[in-house]
Amino acid sequence: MATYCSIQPNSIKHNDECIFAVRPEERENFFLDAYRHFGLAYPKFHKMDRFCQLGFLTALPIVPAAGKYDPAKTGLLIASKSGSYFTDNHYFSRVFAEEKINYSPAQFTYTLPSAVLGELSIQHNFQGENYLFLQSEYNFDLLRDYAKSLFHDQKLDTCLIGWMDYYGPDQFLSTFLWIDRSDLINLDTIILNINKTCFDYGKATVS
Amino acid sequence: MEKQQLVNELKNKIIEQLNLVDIDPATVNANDPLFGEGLGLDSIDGLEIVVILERDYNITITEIESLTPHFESLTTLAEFVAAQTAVTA
Repeated sequence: MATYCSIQPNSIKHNDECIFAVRPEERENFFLDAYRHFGLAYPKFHKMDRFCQLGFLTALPIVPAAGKYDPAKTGLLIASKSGSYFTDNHYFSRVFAEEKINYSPAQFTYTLPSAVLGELSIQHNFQGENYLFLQSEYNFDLLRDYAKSLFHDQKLDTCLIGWMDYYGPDQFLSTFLWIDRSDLINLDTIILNINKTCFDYGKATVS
Repeated sequence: MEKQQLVNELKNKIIEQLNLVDIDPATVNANDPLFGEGLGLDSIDGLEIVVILERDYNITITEIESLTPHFESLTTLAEFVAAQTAVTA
């Protein structure tokens, strides 16, 4: 059965339930606070850039436990407008704006937005088709159509699809959806509801 | 600088540079392996340590492969830094 998670700067929602929230003045450590709130022990989380951390936290409540899906038949389709824009900017300002050597090879690896696919695949052992689409505007329909095609071609049994953007500490949004083959018949309605109820994203896309 | 002091300094720099938020410095021993077990660092982390050596100790690294034996633990790393800084002093 389809399940979704959405994150905005103040809260994390799993289906219709708010599972983590902070006051606006507490946003600064949102990602670390959420990590601790969920009692996670995944040291690599702290090395990720914010874009990957956003993907990591959005997938967390909806990906079933290992053994409940076939890794080889699980896909990962993510779309974004921002990509790793924030990390790129931060990296280049760090390298070129300071006289002292201050580059970070670890941060450099995250200037490739598809790093989020790698992080999620490592964490959940996803081995099926995976794509990151950079889009000029919010477009969950593309993900829906692509997922349908992969299910139709028997390449997938389950799939994580989602949209995510990170522009800065006060500007990020994400919605991930976990679907299996049985959801295909209702997928149009599910996506319609995601568009409506998550955050009216089509109109409110950050820029 | 005393060897133990240098070990502690390198430990703190590595923990800060690599953002090892969950690691309590007091639980890291000087002879624990840096990679795999122990601190659990990976190859990208190794490059971050090279940045520390170049930026904070003015050590120029020309062949990264030659660092492998020095990257076994904080003790071997401190010995390497002490030797290199003594050479350049």
